[in-house]
Amino acid sequence: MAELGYISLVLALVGAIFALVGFVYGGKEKASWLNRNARKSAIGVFILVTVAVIILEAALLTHQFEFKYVYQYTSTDMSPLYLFSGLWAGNAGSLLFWAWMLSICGFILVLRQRPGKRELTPYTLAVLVFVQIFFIILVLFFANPFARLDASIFPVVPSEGVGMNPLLENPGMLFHPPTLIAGWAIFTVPFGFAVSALLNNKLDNTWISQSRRWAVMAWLLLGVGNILGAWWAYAELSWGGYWTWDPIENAGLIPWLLSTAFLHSMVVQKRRGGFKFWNFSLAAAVFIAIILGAFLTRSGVLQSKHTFLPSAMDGFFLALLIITIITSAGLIIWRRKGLKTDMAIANLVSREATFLLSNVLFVGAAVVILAGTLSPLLPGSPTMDATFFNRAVLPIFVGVILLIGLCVAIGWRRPQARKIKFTYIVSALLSLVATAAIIVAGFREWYALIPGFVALFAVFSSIIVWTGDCLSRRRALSENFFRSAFNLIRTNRARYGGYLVHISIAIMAVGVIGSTTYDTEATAVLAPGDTMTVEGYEITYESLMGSGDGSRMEVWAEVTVNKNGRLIGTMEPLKLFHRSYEGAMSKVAIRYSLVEDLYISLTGWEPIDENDLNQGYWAGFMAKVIPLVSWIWVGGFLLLAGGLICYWPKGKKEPASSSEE
Amino acid sequence: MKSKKFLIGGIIIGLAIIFLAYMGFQGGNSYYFTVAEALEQRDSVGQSQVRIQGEVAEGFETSGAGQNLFFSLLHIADEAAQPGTASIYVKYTGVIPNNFEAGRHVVVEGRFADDGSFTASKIITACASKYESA
Repeated sequence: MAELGYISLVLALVGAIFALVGFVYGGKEKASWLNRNARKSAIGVFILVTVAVIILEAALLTHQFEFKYVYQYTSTDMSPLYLFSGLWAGNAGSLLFWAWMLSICGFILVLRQRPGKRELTPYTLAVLVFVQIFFIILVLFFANPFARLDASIFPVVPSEGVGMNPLLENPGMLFHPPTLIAGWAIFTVPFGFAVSALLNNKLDNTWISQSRRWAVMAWLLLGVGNILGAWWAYAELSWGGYWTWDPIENAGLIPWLLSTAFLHSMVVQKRRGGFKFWNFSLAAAVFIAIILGAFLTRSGVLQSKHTFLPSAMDGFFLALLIITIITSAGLIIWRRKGLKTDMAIANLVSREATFLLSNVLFVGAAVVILAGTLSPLLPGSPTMDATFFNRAVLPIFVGVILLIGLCVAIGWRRPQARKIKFTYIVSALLSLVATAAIIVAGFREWYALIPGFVALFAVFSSIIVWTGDCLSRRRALSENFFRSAFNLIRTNRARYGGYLVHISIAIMAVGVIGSTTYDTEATAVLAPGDTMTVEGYEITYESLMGSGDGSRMEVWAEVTVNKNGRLIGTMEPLKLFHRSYEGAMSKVAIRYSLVEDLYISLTGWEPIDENDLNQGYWAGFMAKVIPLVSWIWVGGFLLLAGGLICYWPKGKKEPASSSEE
Repeated sequence: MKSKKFLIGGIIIGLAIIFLAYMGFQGGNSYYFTVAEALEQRDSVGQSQVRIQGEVAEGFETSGAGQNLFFSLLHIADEAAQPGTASIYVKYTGVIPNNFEAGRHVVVEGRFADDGSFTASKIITACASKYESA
């Protein structure tokens, strides 16, 4: 079976090379023999890579430990879901998954290529297939998931594998890596459209329209993937945080920030014809940031808490990076004359001006994060820690959120001053009242109150404008309010999906502010029956329990939690030992709530009397109370909802009012 | 002259971002020492806070129900120094991070004590998705 997987990838490589030739040379003549067959082989590549993925999945699910990859990442005591996720648990598998995602994109593009209508598609597919070839070569020659165990070390196929690191056995594992990888892969399509438009000298809005939904989907997956990663770190890494500005986190964040800028500047080109040069540059920048991130993550270049071991792929990734940078810069410079636009921004206070400003802020934040991440590469330069990123980047994000609050009331070209004034005054008053209430409640930290005010302002002004739109629609069409709210979203998905995303960002900001400014931590070593207190929670250690076998063992403490004298539940922070991993892993117990999370970690234990274990154990605890952190995850769901609304295809009815935004 | 207004606005925003980066740099840069470097510069470092990167030696100990941790931090093998020849004794109180184990590369943040040991206030381990383990 292993050979079959390898062979199907070799065939996929051959097919992809043929498709590349076909799309490049058959490109100009539509429906030429070359083009037709290139399309067929792109479909063939999709089928072959799918076969390889199915073979690897089958090997993972049925414990074929003669596969080195299966041996390394799975074991017989794992549940099928985590066996399934083994596909992206290791370097080789995740690269294969990336190649598979690319082949799916290729398949969809081929199916949607209508003769005569999609003149950009052949070169777009050529770019996609080129990147695909790169990943298939990586999988075949540098990180082969179909490699067999070394027979000189394992004369007999072992009956048990090493197993997955217990820290990875978390729902986050099922969703976070594939979401991010899919987002990275899908963005190849908008980049391909950009290259194709430049090559074809078709510099109008065609490429923007055709790549918009791809870009939205990639952006959405990147955003959700990053939030899932943050939640995973929070639930699994037992220190109560969710973001550390680690190089790999930054590598995931930078493409998302740049693609956010890209989505906004696309709108300006569609509505007002401006920002052409900027759009091509951003499409290239996002793709370059993705490849750079993959390079940094998979090579040992930067010390990161996530890094894969250094490997022979470094040079190969670097080569793709350099080719991409030179090609995109060269193409944009070559076509620079056609990229000049005559859009004049009529007014400093206009929607196009706010889009421009948002672009400056997003790109500025991305550049600062990139500089901070890469700084250790310069000889003699220091490493930037979280303080750098918090001080340099968080104020920019506050600016972004302020802009969210301001932009929503401002229309295109010459906006209505009355609407703006009304929205600003009402939202500012509402946020002032809310902030005053927070101050009265005893929170006085200006560095939390200012961004808090800004986030509230953004939420209120978005809601006010949305409500206003609903009311005027209701008046005009005499529908009931909820029906107009629904119809508004239906007929202008991009705008109202966008508002929902804006609100979700402001809500997440509230979560970040609360959880980073006002968290409280306490540690204690308790005897059974003892109680520790943190922020009004009384945590009583009842007993220490354990269970397990030779392969994994769990030790947990039962604690009961009271708040203000009322029992609110029991929690079981635990430590886990796994035969393949030295040292204990903490699995924290978390009590989620919208107001504050209680986060308890078991740090260790010691017999009270070495000679009489019946007397029980001392147990050490770290307890944290983290306010508002759940708002980040709630915001994540709203972001997903808003993004899906933007992504959903335009409705067929009421074409007059469904101007895309 | 609308475009001039935009240019001025852009320059102000650009300067603001550079200023923020500079402010961050003031407080947020930190040099990682290797174990050998930290020992060489022990005197000049004095009591100031430093970060040292090294490898956890075999046989670390805990006490106080797992809240105190003691271990030797070894120099990571490279071309300049032999492995294991330089080490620093580290004391730490707090939650032992997941993945802490002998042989793992960690960064300790803290200060040297008078007796030559190192009191760490923070230990940063490689994360779970250091996939190529085992």
